[in-house]
Order: sequence, then C-alpha cells, then structure tokens
Amino acid sequence: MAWHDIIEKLLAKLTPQLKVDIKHPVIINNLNIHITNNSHDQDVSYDPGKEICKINLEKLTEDIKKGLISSEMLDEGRILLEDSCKKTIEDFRNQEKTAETQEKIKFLDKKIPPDDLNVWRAALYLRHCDNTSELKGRVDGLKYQLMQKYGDKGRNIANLCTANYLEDWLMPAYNELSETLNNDDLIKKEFGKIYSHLVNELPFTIFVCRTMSTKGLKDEIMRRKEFGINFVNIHAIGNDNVQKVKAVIPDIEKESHYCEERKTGRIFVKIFFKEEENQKELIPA
Amino acid sequence: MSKIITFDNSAKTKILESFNMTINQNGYIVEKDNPLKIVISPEGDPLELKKFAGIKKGSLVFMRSDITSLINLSDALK
Repeated sequence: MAWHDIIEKLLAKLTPQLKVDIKHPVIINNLNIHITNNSHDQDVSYDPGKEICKINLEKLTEDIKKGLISSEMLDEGRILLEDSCKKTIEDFRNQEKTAETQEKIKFLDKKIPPDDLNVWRAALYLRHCDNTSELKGRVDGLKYQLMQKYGDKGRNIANLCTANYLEDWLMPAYNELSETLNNDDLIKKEFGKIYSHLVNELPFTIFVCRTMSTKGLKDEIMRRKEFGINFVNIHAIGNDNVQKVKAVIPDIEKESHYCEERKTGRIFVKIFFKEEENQKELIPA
Repeated sequence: MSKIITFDNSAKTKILESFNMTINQNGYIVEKDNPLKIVISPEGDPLELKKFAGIKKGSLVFMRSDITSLINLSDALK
C-alpha cells in the first residue's frame, strides 16, 4: 500500500474530529503528524488544541508500520524530525530573525572565517537562552555541543559571545580599523588577525570554568601578564567559580590593581598589571 | 515549518529499524545488514542514537541534533 493510502486509512479513523479532506495530498502534507511508540495512546488520535495527528507505532500492524515509516514518507520534501529538534529550530529562527541578531550576523558575515559563522549564530542563540528564564536550562548543553564539535574555539566563542565581546570589543575594533585604514582589504586582513587572536587564544580574557583550580586561575592571570598585556578580564559564573576568583584576588592585588563588579552568582574582575598603572579605566563586562 | 513529520524519543529506535538500521554496542547507528558500517551525519560525524535528530531524503540523510547541525538544517529548509 502506498504511503498516502496508509495515511488516508489511518486518518479516516479520526473523522469527524478531523474536518479536512484527507484524500487531498496537499492537505495531508500540511497536517501536523507526530509519531510515537507507547502502550497508552490509541493507534491514531487527534489533539485539536495543538492540531496534531498522533500515530502510535506500538498499536499498528507490522505491515502498516512498514508502509508508513518508509522512504516514501520522505518524498515531496517531507522530513522526519524529533519534536525537540523542531522546537529548537523554531526558537532559533524566532531569535535569529530579530533586527538585533540580524545586525550581528550581518557584521560577522564575510569578516570571519566562513566555518566560524555558524558557531557565532549558535553562540548568539545560546546567549538568548541564557537571557531567557524558560530557556536557561539549555545553556550548558549548547555550550557542551559547541565544545565537543569545535574544541577550544567553540568554547571560546560561546563564552566571548555570552560576555558581549562581539558588541563591546570586536565591532568597535572593526569600526576603529575602518576609520584609520582606507583600504578594505587591509581592514579585513587586520581585523582577521585581531579576530583570530581573540577567539583562539583569549589574550586578555579568562573564563573561569568548573575544572579550573584556584592555582590554575592564578597561573592563567600571570601567563597573561608575561605576554606583556596591560590588563586581564576575568569572568566567572556560578558560586563555585565566583569563590575561586575571590580567593585569587588578594594574592594578585599584591602585584596589580583590580576592580570588581557583577550581580549575584556572576563576577567580573578587571586586573590592570602594575607596570601600566596609568590604565585604570573600567570597561563593562 | 511545513512538511515536517515529528517523532518523540519513544519512537526513535522503531523508526531507525524501519529504515533497516540498528544500534551497535557503543550506541552508534549502523546498517542492520552491515553492522560495521556506522551511519555518518551530513557534517561527517559518526551518528549516535542519542544524537539522532531525524531523516531526510537525498538518498537517506540521517541528521544530528547538535545546534550547528540544526542551524544547517534550518537553512536548508528555508
């Protein structure tokens, strides 16, 4: 039996709940169909609130199941997608279509390596989740996915984006280059160097993570000082990480200036190394 | 988005079985007739059951559920 015939036969059981012409292929294609496999649902059911036809594999005969879940199901551009992934794509699209996000993507496009663009798009979505109470639970998973797929660079981009380095550092750096250099190729080349240095090496930024010890944090700070950099920005989220920063500050203060700000559970510390005592200006994290 | 047929976690294995796939002892999706052949995502990564997002045509394309794979899929669906 062809796929359309199977669907038609299954959905026929839903009349009169489902008031559509199930013999019409276009209508069938536009119906929301959800596949499940459990012992409690009927073989076919309809949720009028969500407008979803639910098909339960557990209650279908082997023949029907085989005909339904087949390559024909994927004809006419149909795809099979886990419901949580569909939700993620919908959320992602809603966030990405805002003027604010579009501006950032437009800025990044063609200025950074093409392979990095999707990492930044994901990082902007991660930041949106971080700033949205009902999506906050997704943040750790998203960051882990970026780390697993793109290594240190994925983690760095996620952290830099969450701490607003795109708006507060990369965009101003590009604008400054545009004002001082006249040649577009040169601007792009110089910006490319700055960008690559920032996302690959975090030259003046430390994101304290769970696995970083207090000693490790201190070593990272001193490593930045040895680079000959004037300052280092330290970001920490979560009480344990905040405590590590607070534990290090008294030691560091012996040899450098520091300042601190942040809301509960988050801390931002900017340390100006002593050799550069004239630089005491604060910039927001 | 139209033309998307959704499924939930409970149906994952059944759907893969219908496409002649099974899961090896390490949790990767493999061909039932050739268990040494691990299914690869469009991004070139071996695909684990826990990261299986869905299937589309193009012979058969098995998709991953990580965020950048979903961004690629989102772009492809536009």
